[in-house]
Amino acid sequence: MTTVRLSRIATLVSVCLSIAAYALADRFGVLAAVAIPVAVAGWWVTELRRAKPVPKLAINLLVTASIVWSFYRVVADRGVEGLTVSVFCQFLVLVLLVKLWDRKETRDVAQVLTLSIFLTIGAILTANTLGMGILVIANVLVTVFAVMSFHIAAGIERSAFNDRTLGALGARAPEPESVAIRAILRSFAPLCGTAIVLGLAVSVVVWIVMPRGVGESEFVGLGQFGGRRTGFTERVDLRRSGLITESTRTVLDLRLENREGFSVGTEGRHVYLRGAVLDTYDGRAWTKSPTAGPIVDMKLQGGKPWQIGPTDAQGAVVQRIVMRDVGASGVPVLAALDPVSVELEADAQLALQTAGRTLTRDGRPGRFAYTVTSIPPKPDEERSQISRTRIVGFRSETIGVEARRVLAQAGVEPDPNLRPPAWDSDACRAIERHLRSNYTYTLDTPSLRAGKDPIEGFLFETKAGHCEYFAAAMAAMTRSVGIPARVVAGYVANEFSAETESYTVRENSAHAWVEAMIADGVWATFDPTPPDGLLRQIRPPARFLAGWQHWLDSMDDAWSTSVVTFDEQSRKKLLGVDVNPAAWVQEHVSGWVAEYRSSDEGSRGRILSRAVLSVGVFGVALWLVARASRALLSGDWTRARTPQATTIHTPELMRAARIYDRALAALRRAGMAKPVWKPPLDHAETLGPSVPAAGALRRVSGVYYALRFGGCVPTAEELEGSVRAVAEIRGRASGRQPVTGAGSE
Amino acid sequence: MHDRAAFSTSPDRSSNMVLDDPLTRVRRRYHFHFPGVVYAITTVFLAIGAINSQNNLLFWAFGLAVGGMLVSGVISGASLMGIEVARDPIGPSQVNGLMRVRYRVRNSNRIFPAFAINLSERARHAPDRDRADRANWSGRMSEPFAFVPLVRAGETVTVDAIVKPTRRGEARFRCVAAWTVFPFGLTRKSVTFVGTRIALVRPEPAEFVPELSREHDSERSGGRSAPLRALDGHEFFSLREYAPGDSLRAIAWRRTARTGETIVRQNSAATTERLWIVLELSDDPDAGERLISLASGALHRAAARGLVVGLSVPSQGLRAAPREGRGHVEALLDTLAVIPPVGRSGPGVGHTIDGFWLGGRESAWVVSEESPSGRIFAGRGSTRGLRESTSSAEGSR
Repeated sequence: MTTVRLSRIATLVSVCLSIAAYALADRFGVLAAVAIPVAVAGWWVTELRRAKPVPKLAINLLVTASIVWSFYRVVADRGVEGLTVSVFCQFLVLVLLVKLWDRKETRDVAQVLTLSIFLTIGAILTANTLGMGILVIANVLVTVFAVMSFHIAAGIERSAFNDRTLGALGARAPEPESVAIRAILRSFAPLCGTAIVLGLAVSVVVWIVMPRGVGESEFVGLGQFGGRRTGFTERVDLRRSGLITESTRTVLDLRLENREGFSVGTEGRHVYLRGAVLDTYDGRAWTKSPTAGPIVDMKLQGGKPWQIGPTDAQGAVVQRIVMRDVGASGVPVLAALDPVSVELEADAQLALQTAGRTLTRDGRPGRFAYTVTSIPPKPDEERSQISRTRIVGFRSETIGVEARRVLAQAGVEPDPNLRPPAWDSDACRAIERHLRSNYTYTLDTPSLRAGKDPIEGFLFETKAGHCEYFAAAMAAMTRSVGIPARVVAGYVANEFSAETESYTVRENSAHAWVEAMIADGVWATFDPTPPDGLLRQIRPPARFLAGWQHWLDSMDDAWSTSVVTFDEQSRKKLLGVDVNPAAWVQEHVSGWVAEYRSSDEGSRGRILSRAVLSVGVFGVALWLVARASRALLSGDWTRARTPQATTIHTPELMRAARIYDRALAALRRAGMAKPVWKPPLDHAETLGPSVPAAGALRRVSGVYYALRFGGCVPTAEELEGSVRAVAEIRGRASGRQPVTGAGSE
Repeated sequence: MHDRAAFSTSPDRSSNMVLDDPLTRVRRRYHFHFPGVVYAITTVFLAIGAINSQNNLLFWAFGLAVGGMLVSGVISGASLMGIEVARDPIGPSQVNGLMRVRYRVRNSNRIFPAFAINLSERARHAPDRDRADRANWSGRMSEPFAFVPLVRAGETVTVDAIVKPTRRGEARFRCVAAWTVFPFGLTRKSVTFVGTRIALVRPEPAEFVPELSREHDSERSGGRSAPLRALDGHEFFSLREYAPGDSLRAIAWRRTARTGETIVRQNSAATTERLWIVLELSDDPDAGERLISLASGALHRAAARGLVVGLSVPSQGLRAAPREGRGHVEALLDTLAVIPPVGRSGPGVGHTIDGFWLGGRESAWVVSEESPSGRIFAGRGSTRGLRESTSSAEGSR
């Protein structure tokens, strides 16, 4: 094993890890399964077997084909979210594979490493999952090693190439391989480890210090990545298959409390968390009605509750929810039915849809923590007091006939005009029971004939489907017997942990159910999905995997809360101070812009000048920092240490330097201070021949410079002459003779 | 592939050794180059992407990029800070031969090892105030370059730069830069050292004519040189019967086997013939270089044949009498390395061999632009009155 070989192996490992990280981030396992073996094979053929690499023409053709394919993907599938990053990453993978089958000179290895780093960045842009993060961190370690060893290997190869070119092979004895690898292990590995530790430490510091929430989305889609965790959609499309996810990734954590703060969650108690209320059916899908009712917007500060309704009712349930990774806008604020109070951890914009009693939130993406209080609906105890002012229908007569048949069979009057309003609840229960007992739950979406209403298909043909079919069918049947009903999409929380006294809600807990108006303004929840089917979908992992699942959940939770959703609030908590200079700047700039826009012509100039002054001060500060950095880096701080300079400590030079300093001090006192940047002889010339101090300065400088830069040791007379010259300058300074030309500089 | 040079075997590495004659460190610089610019641009984009998307892993990647910059500065700065370089005296070489410039690199740092140190000779450098002391190797050879993969803390490593000179003359090495892009290749850090070493690049010996020696021998056998004597030389002289005291190694075994008598082999004594190599230069520098190369070849050949050689360049007023010894030949080759390729003309300075006096058992090989293959003069007296014969060098070349 040689240094060069070790470096090449590290490069290959880095490439494989970056491909794996991207494949994991983009959920493109096939890519990893194909690309990694191809990469290893290319390396094995060209490096180990020393076989002839793929001809250059073929390499160029393959790279060109990759470019054309990527361009075609971007053009053909434009508009798809996250496509650009995805295509770019896949293009990088292709080029990497081609490069690994090409001959590998020093420059090629550097290119492969660079592409690998870019691919890793692409993976970060694609997703922030725990697995991807672990792979990225592992790749960082390997890449640092590969890059550092590359620079050693490159020098060795350059040296060998030089020897080959000159025909000087044999002029130097080759180094035994064991020596090389031993040297690497003994000296390089500790340094590499130190570099990794230092780099990671700095990265963590920067990561913590960087202010969050400033400048978000200023550059449109640059750096945005998709893949936020959702398990439900706001459109229940019964013709599209495969929407019910079986992913067990955690979406949120829920703690149920009563008003006193005691946990009221128990194992076996299901909690329906409403996300979206879908009240319009178009023959294919249930969607939100655009005219469902007024929307109340509220800019809510963190820690301050928003009272939506009366909160003093009995049976209020407090839900403390932490959503692990949400998007920036239109995020459903999940809650049980009828939220009456909501409190956010961080500032955000809330919108309440009054008809559906649902909340959405616009704010920073990532972690979203809030507390919402709901009051379960309770129709009046006295059935006689229940009233109904609204009777609805449904478009499908076939479904209406079926609904009426079901109600008649259950002994409930189907006609809403004849049926007392208090029986509406019973009618709903009858339909719910009918669906639960006569239909089969399955995740395999049955195929339907084109043009056939999917609800009718479910009710009369397939008689099997998942929760969305059940909910859609019940809403349709309930409506067709005159009871207002709507489909609700959200999550059902059922996985309760006694240790943490909280529910864990996963993506596969996404669910759809029905809310029906059982009295004026009173909506009740009905779930027509067969319980065994629902439990099969949302059941916790098998017992023998439960330990692993729990461990993975803990890891994922820690990763999500500590890394992925680390936000300004977390930063402030961690640092213990509320300092965000970037936010201060942004706030003030925004303030100035607003002030400028609202001001009259007269005061605009003042505002503008203030802004210009601020920018100027900032620019000067920046310039000074740049100057200091440049001086630090360019070596001005390590000025030329010439042999003469090393004589600074000789007694003669020290004495001459002292005299010279005294002369400068005397000049300063006399008001003829020499500027720092100006050589003394130039300064003497500036003072002019008529100024006696100029001559004295010239004499002192001459002696000092001759010794300092010429190495000429002054005689005793010359030193005495210098001392006299200083005294002469002092004499002028003490006022014995007026000084002219002072302050000319 | 083998790692070379500085992971060298134990004699090239030593610990706690102070360099004898270290070069003077004059400057330390950071140079930004293309990979560094790409890195900086990528870092800026990471920052923008992180701020724009609030993607925490992008923030971390940005921090890592910043950390990379800082670590790069710390490691390379710390390792270069302790580097000392000494350049050993450089032996003479010849055009199209190999020149070895040997450096000793010491890492005085007590903690940090220094990795991937490149040593490059610089042709020009700002502190070269003294024009006469400026480096002038550029144009005579490619840039001397050496690479040291590792110098541990407190260790001294010896490393060679191998170059191929292309022009004869005095190569003056003034300034050497130790630079590295280690660890991440973001910036090139360099430390410049000054200190002068001079190396002579001798002319490439022309393929000299073997006939020169034969001509020379024929002249000598014409009665002007002493007869060969049976001494312990290296050339065959005759055979004779064995006499007691003869070395067994002198027995000619084949002849002994054929004749049945013990025959021994007698060698001749080394000749003491003195050969002048006379170089007649003209105003054409290219022709002068060719002639100098021929003269060098003649010197090599004559020395190889054991002749005592001297060198005369009348146009330069140079006259080095023939003397024995390898050192003398080396000195003559050094002279050929530095003489100007053109001859001066003017009153009193002859271009030709006219008036060149030869002593007894002396001959002269004259090479000039008119007869670049050389003319042979042999015998006592002025060359003007001597018989001249032209060797067939031209045809042989």
